[in-house]
Amino acid sequence: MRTILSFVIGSALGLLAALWFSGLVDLGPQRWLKGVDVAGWRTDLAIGSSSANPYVRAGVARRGLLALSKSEAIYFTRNVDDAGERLHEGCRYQLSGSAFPAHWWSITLYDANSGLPDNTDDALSVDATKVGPTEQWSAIIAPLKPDGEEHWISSRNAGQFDLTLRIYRPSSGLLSSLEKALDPPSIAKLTCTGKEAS
Amino acid sequence: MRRELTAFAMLAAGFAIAHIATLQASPGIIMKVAMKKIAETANLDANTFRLSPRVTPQSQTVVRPSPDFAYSICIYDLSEGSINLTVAPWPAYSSVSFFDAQTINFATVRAEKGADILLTREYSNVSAGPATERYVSPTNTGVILIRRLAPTEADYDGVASIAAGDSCAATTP
Repeated sequence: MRTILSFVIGSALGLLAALWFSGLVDLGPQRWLKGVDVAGWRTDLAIGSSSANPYVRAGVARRGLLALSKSEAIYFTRNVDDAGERLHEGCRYQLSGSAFPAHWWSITLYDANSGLPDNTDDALSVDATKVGPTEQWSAIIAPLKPDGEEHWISSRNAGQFDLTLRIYRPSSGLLSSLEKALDPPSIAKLTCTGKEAS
Repeated sequence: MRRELTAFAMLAAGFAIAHIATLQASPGIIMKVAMKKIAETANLDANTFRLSPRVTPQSQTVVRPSPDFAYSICIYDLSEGSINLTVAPWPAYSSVSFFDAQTINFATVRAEKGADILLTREYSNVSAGPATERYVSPTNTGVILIRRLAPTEADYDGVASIAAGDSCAATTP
């Protein structure tokens, strides 16, 4: 009886540990991304490939199903601002960056369930086609469209959210020296309303 | 003392078995659920391409879709034989990617100029027909996904006008 109970308890702990370390349960979107961290933007270059360890494969299946391997696309995720505080729809942020050495790129906002937030603003990303061939670009992340801003990412109904940076067909220089070659976008908090303080 | 050691050994064995089994099984289970959900939502038979509705918060069926892409999807089944793919050209970014039943992206092809591809279960003497490339799937089932850059509604409408040229069909014996 005692040995059976030990086995059952061990199985339960093993299951919970697998769920925890792979990100299969909701522990924040980045727990399972431990490969590369560039100023808070995290990725794992094994995403999509057969060489990914079981934790990455399980995490990608849960939070990035049908992700491509690195030669076609690199996916970074970030859920904190430049001060290290969790991104939240109650605050306005300025997202700024420079052009990426790649065929195409985008930055998209996702809610805590890895889904697009439930709004009809048709403004959930900024991408290379929207900002054009400029070297420097910026966008405002806010629940309401700010006056006079050219680029806006809507955080309406997002609650706590994260951003995914997709870099498609990255240059060989970027792939071979990711941490040095990537100029990571910054996320500066501008203002907050009362409800974001959690 | 021996009883304690036995209990600890069983605890460790249970932990290891459950831990490894969960990690190994979860991608396949999640992929199977996703394929079923996609097939039901789109009323999609196996080995058929379907252009998904424009990605919006209301239409999303998988996690983290990009609203800048128009996705065409084919849930493939090679149990009855190989399939031939034809992908219509699209002037902006376009790729066709292959995912096996364990979520592994085993091939991706650039498709701005279109593509003709043979997908088989194993290296065989199946005639490539019009295909210019051939790939072997590690599993009988999986997903083929065409991504076409279409950030605006007008771009999506453009994809919709050419997507009828995509096909994902069993090879004729």
